[in-house]
Amino acid sequence: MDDAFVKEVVSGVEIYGLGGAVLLFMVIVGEIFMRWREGKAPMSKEGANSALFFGIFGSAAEAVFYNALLIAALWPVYHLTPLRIEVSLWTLPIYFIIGELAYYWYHRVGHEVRLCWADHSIHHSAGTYDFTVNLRHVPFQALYRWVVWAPFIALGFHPLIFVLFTTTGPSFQTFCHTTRIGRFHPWFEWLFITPKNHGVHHASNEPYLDKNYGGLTMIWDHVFGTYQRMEDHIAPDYGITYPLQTANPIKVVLHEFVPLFRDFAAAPSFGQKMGVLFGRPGHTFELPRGSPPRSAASQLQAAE
Amino acid sequence: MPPFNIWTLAAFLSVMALLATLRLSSISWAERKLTGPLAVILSPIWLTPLIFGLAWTIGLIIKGSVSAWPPTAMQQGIAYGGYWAGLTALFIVIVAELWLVWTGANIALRYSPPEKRIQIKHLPILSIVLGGGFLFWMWTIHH
Repeated sequence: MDDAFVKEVVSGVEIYGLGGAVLLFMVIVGEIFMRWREGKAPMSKEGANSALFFGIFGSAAEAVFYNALLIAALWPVYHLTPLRIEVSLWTLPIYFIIGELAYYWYHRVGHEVRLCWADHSIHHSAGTYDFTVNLRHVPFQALYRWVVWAPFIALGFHPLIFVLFTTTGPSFQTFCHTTRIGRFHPWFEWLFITPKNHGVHHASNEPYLDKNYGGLTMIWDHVFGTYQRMEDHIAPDYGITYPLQTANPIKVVLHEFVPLFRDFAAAPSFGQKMGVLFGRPGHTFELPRGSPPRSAASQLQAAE
Repeated sequence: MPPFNIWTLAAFLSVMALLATLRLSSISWAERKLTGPLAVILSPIWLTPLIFGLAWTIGLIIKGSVSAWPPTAMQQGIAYGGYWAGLTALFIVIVAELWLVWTGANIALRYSPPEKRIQIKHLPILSIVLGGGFLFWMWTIHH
């Protein structure tokens, strides 16, 4: 393993992150300015909470703390496996493509395993879709990232480079959380994450629900059949199927954990309890909630 | 002409990204339907490398590895990797600076409906102040 090259790659990613942070700052200030000029509050209440609370305990904590913990926790797996995938100029494309695959599955698990969705839904809980949603990072994703990514490390991928590649490409999503930009060229929309593609991902109505998990590219969505184009005749309904009635950040964090634990306690059998934890949201044992879910059928009718 | 190397390709991609950026920097040009060679030369396809290149170049400017002043950046590029690397540095720094001070705001204006376009018409000024201020700050730090 060429340690000098590893250091060079890490330094490159750090430089990319610095530049990305400047661009993120620019687009958030631009968003605030445009909202103000359009006669809206410079920041929605949920946007302000995102910035203040999730910005500190989400984005910042993830950048300096959670990812470091994740990398550290993946090292034992790397030491246990006899396999090695060299870090060199020629293997970086492999790191990128497999990193995209790893990101896809971590993201899909975040949506399709209820225990993980309780965490990931925090990011999706905003009913708005603008740049401030970026700041609504989630606190526990490093745990299920470890579960999903450990097998890749067992195949011999270098933990540091793997995590950096798996998280750096998708950081381009930062600039896709907006409704202000229109559709790009069809080939670009097919291949890359775009505001429209990621808007589909943040919508909670059919046919958009649980689609477009890709990080930087849509390749693995095409492979696994989860790609969905944003249709001109079906407006996206941003947010989650049980919309939040609050912008209180503590309630936002707990909004899915509370029904999860309540359903787990009430589930009559062991199998159903496991289903509550590891089943697909909306398809497990569930007690009635205070507010009804958005009806996909009625949304489709409304869109038509 | 200096011999071709990997930096020749980088310089080519950088100049194409610059041309595509210049097109997007003008609403009338961005909305104009192009045909023939001009459609290829000014195609947004050339912006694809900026997915990585833009943030990376700004990061290099922050670190002081590349100057915010394009001619100096070119000299640094030549010192690092020769003539083609110098051209790459020159073009990519100009591209990054255009995006920081102008192009992004122009795209937001372009995609806005007419009534909103009037409301946010000063967005490019904000962009110039923020982006220009950032570049000036970087220039003062590293010189």
